[in-house]
Amino acid sequence: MDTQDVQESENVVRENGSWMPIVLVLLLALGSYLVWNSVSSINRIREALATEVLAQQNDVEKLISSYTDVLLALEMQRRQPGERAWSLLNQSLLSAQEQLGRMRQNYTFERLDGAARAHAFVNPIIEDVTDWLLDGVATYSSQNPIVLELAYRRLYERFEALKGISEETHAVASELIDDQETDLGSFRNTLLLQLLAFISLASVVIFLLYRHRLLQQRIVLGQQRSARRFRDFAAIGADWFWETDADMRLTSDTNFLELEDGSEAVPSSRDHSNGVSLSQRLLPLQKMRERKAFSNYECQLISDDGATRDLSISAWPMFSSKREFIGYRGVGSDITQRKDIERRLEQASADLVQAEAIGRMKAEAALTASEQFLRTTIDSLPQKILILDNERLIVETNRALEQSGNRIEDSSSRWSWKGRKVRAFFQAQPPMEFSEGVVSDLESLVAKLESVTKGKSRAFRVEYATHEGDNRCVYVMRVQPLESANECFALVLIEDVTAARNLAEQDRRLRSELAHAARLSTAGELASGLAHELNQPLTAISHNCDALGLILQSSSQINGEVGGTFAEMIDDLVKESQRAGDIIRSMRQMVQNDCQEFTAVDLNTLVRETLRLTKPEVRENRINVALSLASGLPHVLINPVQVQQVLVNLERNGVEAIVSSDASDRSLHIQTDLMDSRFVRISVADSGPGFSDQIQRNLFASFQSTKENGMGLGLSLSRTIVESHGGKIWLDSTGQPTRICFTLPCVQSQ
Amino acid sequence: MKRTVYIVDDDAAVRTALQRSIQMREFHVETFSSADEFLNRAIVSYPCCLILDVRMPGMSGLDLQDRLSHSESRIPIIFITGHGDIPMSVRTIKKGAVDFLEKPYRVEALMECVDKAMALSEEWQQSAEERKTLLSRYASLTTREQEVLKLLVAGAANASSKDIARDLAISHRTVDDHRARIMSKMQARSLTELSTMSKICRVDS
Repeated sequence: MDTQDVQESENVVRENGSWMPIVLVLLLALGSYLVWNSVSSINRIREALATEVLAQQNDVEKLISSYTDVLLALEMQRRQPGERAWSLLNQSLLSAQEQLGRMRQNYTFERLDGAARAHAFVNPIIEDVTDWLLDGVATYSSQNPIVLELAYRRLYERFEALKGISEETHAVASELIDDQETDLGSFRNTLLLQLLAFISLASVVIFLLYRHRLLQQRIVLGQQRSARRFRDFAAIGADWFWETDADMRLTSDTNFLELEDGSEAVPSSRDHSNGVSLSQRLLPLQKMRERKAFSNYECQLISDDGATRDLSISAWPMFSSKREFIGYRGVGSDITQRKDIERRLEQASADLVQAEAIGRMKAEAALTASEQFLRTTIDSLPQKILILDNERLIVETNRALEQSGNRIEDSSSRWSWKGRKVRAFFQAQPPMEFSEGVVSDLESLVAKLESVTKGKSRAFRVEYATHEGDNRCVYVMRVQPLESANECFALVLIEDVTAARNLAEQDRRLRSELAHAARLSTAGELASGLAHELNQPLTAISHNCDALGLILQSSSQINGEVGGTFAEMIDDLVKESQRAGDIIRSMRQMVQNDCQEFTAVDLNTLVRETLRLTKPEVRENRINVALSLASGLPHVLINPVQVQQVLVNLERNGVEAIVSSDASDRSLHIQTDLMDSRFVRISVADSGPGFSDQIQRNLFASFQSTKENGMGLGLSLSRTIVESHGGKIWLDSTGQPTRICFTLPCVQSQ
Repeated sequence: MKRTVYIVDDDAAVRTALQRSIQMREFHVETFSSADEFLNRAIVSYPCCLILDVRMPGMSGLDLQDRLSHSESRIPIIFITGHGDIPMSVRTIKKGAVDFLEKPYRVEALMECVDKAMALSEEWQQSAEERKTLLSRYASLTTREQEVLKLLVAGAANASSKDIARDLAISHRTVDDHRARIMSKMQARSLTELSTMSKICRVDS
């Protein structure tokens, strides 16, 4: 609406402004013309004047010169009177006359004042001179020299006078010109002043007009700005602006009440020609009857297609300058969304209250259930749990605690440790042996517990052991401060760790056994490497001996007996290096658990051969060896080297036993006999001190050694060997002497 | 021809000792400290055999055995080893070694193996020469004759001239002529002999 007014004023300004430049141009044109005209007039006048004066000057000059000619002619006549002089005189007189005649003609021109003045001044002079001249001419026709002389003098005087007149004329002419100049100058100045005045006036007029236009423009701008401000506020503020007349008919409104598809939401009848009335439903009628302003009146619109919109309308009444009511002016906003949210919020809040009530009931139920669950859990724990308050009374227990210990028998089955003194509880337990720690006896335990409940100590842990019957049980007690409802309690947890400790001990033991075994396997690998290394030199030795033997054979220098001894020695060398190889091989097999080759062997022969190996030690230690070898024994199916190893091991053990005890009876007894149809038995007995009970228990176990540097391998290996043959090895524990027996399988006849 | 024993072992003492032993028994002995050295420097003269240690730094004895089996030279190998590895020993025997001895062994046992190896070597030498002769005889056959020979031995025992003639699209009399010439050039006395010869020459392959 306001935009129209703004537009109008704009138009007005534009229209006003449009003729201004034209006026300006016209003024300028006129002014210029005037100036030009004046200036050119002045110039023309000046020129005319100048020409006039100049012409006058010229004429006078000419006259003077013609008179001068006359004078000259007269002079000539005087000096040399003759024809020539006379004709000259005539000529000059004629020309003077002509000149005079011309001047007379000219000086009838009386246009300007100055010229007339000059004319008036010169004329009589010219008349006078002319008259005189005529006279003079008559005179001069006489040829009387004195008369001529006189005439000449007179003429000369007149000429001088003429010259003087000419000069005066000059002066007068100059004066005239100056006057004219001055006049012109003053005329010009006047003109200029007028022009200046004109220009100033024009400028003032223009300036005023221009200012007027600027003012108008500013007004228009102001209007525009205000219109824009209004528009902006309007856009932000409200969706709908409307004005009515006194009959509540819409005079102007923004097209708010149109839905997106263009349909009208105002349910009233819309008639374009008459203007639209606001629907009654939209207005708070009471207020309007009282012609009062109202704000944020909320109402609902239902459009034709059933969609509802919520509006908030504010309006204030308009009055004319005569205080007549001329209508309402107001704004409206679509608050559908807000109303929608409000309604939903109400609904949600109602739901929430309901949900809260339900939730609370559920929570209570859950709490009860959880308490139950907790109680059951605590009761099912194997650990004994009790809670102390700060007066050393037990406030809570679990089932494990109640069922444990020696409580005072009571007929009532409802007896519980709850409410009893904690000291009493501990005293009812079997005596506790505390291990190193913060608590050393019952008193200090109770004291420490009290300090925890009083908040003076932090959590702690003690270990103690009791003897229950035959067993030694180990317990771990953990105590922790507990805060509940601003009071301090102590939570005590007692755990029976006996089994765990035993397991731990066993574990430790097994680990050490394992380490030992690992060491041994390394030893085995070492042995394997060593074996390989040893094989090389043995091969070399073997070959060298062979070569030696051959050289010996072919050598004729070494005679019979020496040669024979050499041959024997070489033979032995070869055999021994072979043996070394065999030993290495079988030892390696031992470690690798390879399958072995069994051969049928006469055991007694083997025993005798074995004795050779142990001969040095036996002899050195002054030990007697007795043999009781049964005859007619069947061959045994064995690995002879391995069995030899067993025998050597047993014999060596016997020798060492005797040596270490330094017994007086130093004898070793080896026996063979047939145990049953399938096995042959060998036994090795020594007069040593024997084994203690403890050692006997684990005699053949691995890694058991009574010797200082023993690996504890000998008997264990022996057992492995014997058992891999299918036999058995045992300690014949019937008193002295110490006897170890083992069996070997006979060769089964096919 | 002197019989040669090649010894490859990384242990110097063993090498020397072996050399002494074997040289005394009238063999020509050459020793090498590694398989590479043997491959690079040895000039093989037959009959010969090779005493080889299994585990050596660089190329092992087993690798050398593989290498030699793929080469032109056919040398019998006796393995000696300080380790007692049964699977390894089986493997070497399967790959054609004469024997596998564990250190320390009896020298007599080794010498028996050497004798066996030498006999093998001589045998191989002989058959190699035989093969060379046969191949040169085969080369003397013309292309056509070679074709006929192939058909003769490829076919059934009683491959008739008629069948061959049909296959080659020539007359059976021509085939007979070819056949007679083949027999004489190859110096075969029967078809069976011819078949054996062609197998040796590996005609079919």
